[in-house]
Amino acid sequence: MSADATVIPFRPRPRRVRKLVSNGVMGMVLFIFVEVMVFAGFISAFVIVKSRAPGSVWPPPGQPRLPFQETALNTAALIASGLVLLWAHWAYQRGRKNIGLSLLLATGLGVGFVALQGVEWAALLRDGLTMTSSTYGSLFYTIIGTHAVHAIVAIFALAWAGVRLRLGKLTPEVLSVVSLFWYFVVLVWPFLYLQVYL
Amino acid sequence: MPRVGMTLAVLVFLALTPEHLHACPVCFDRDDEARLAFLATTALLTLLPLGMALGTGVWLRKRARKREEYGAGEDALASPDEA
Repeated sequence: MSADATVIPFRPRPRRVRKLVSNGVMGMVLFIFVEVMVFAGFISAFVIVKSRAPGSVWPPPGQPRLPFQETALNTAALIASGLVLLWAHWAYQRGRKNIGLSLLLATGLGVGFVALQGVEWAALLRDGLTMTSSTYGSLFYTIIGTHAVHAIVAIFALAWAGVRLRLGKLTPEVLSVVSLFWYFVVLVWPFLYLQVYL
Repeated sequence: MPRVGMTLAVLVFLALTPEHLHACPVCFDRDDEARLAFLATTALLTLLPLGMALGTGVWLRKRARKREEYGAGEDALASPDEA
C-alpha cells in the first residue's frame, strides 16, 4: 500500500427523515393564511363603511340591491363543488384512481359558479352599480372580484389536475395542494355572501 | 408569589390607566354602531392570525404524535443537516 494514498473524508449517508407535511401542502397552507387575512381586511373595511353609512341606510339610496336569492343558487353550486372534490380527494388518498368524473363535476360546478357571477355582474352594471358609482359599488366589485379571480385560478388548477390524472401523472400531493386552494375558495364564500349580499 | 403580585399590579395598572383617545376610531366615535364595528374588526384582525398559527401548531403536533404512535413509513430524503 502506498503511503500517499488519497484520504476520502468520511461522509455519513443521507439519513431518511419523515416530513410531517409535504412542502407543497405546507406552502399552500401558508399561502391560504395570507389570503384569509386579505379577505379579513376586505370584510373589515366593508363592515366599517357599512356602519358609518349616513342615516344607517345600507345599501346607499339610489344603488341597486344585490340579488341575494339568485346568488343562493351560486352558493349552493360552489358548496356542492367543494363537497364533490372533498370526496374525490378522500378517495384518491386511499388509492382509488377513478376520480376523473368527480374532478370534472367539481370543476364544472366551479365554472357554473363563475359564469352565474358573470351574468349577475352584467345585470348589476346595467342597473348602474359600477366601481365608481359609490363606495358600495367599489367595495362590492373589489371583494367579490377578488374572490372571482381566486375561483378562476383554482378552476384552472383543478383542470390541470384533471389533465394530469388522465395522463396518469397526478400525485396525491399535487391533488392535495390544488384541493386545499379550492376548499379555501369554497369556504371563504359564505362569509362574503352573508356579509356583502345580506 | 411576589411575581404574581407584580403581574397583577401591572395588569390592573394597564387596565385602569388608558383613557379614550378622541383621535382613535376604535376608542371614540359618536356612533355606537361604528365604534362596535371598529372594535369587532380590530378583534378579528388581531385574533385571526393568532388562531391560524395556533391551529397549525396543534395540527402539526397531532400529526407528529400520530406518526410516533403508528410509526409510519419514511417518506423523504434529507441531508443530515436538515434532519
